[in-house]
Amino acid sequence: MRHTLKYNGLALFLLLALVISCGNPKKLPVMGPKTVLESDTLYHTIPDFELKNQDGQIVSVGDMKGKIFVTDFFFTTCPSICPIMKTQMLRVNEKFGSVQDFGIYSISIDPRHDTVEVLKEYSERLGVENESWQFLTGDLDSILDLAQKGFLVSAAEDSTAPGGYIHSGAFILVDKDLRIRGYYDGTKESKVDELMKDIAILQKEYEGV
Amino acid sequence: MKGYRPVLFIISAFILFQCTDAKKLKKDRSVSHGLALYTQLCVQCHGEDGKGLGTLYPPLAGSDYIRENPDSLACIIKYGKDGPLEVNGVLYNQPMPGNPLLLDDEVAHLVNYIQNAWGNKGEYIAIDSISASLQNCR
Ligand code: HEC
Repeated sequence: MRHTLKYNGLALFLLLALVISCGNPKKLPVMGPKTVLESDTLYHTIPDFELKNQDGQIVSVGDMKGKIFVTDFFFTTCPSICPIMKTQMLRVNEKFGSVQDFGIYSISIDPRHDTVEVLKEYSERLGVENESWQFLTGDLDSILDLAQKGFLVSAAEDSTAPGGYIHSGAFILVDKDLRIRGYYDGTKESKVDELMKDIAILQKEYEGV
Repeated sequence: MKGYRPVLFIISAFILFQCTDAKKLKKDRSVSHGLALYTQLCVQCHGEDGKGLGTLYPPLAGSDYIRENPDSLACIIKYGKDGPLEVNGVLYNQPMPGNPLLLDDEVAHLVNYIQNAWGNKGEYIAIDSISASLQNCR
């Protein structure tokens, strides 16, 4: 008799814990180095830069601020992982491409080949019609710098790699305040599912303010 | 004398049956090797379903190019392809990388796979004729 009571209590406790944890949606972490001041924590944010999109317009970090956005680094002639990344990014674009204050920035790490015109044709052939997915090109050194120091992913020229560059296959999720909130393997469908769930969580976070 | 005829008939029918069966077996085996290679080397662009991606990467499923140019497939797979190329009425123009390290039998498996996957229908191509085609790549 006492035993059953004990078990019932335990079961009740577990149930309660479950309900509470369900009611509290998970909050995404903020990635990157932090600086803790006396009363405040400063988080790493995407630094300023200037690149051109597939229509030849200048895009800077100011255009990204105020948007929840996803970034990846790629190049149009990349034979290995980029095609899969683009297939997966198409899924993200399909789901969120028409949502307000959302954007996708695919940044080329082979800007000598990937000129504005090349990116324009690439995006059209990929079937991207909305404005929220932009393809960016510019100065090689500032792009590699932006990848490494801004988005904290690897990207470098390497003549032994397929296509001549090594780069991360990550999709990087950034919030409206330019803070990095997550990294997802853009070559794996299940990870991209996770990304799409987290975008929704992030949207809620801003709605709640 | 007459009594031999049915026996002969049965024996030759049996041999014939065995031969076609052996050929089908060879083809099936080649196609399944081809699938494994396809998953490593081609799927990222042409897709699991062989439908390609937008107008960047052309489809292999139902491709008129594959149907009409069976002899050029080995060269494309081994040495890649550049410049404009029309498939099912759409013009594609992206470089496809080659796979120069593939052996002739691996190329044959890939050709057999893409000619017989996704509803495509093709004859079994033997390794000899692939080796011959590979002599004539530009
Ligand atoms: C990096 C992406 C990529 C990879 C990987 C790739 N292809 Fe292609 N493939 C292309 C492109 C792009 C074309 C069109 C080439 C052109 O425009 O000249 C093409 C054309 C073809 C064609 C002729 C056109 C058609 O659709 O019928 C065949 C056959 C083909 N590829 C088979 C393969 C096979 C088999 C593999 C794996 C060994 C492979 N490809 C790997 C991108 C790729």
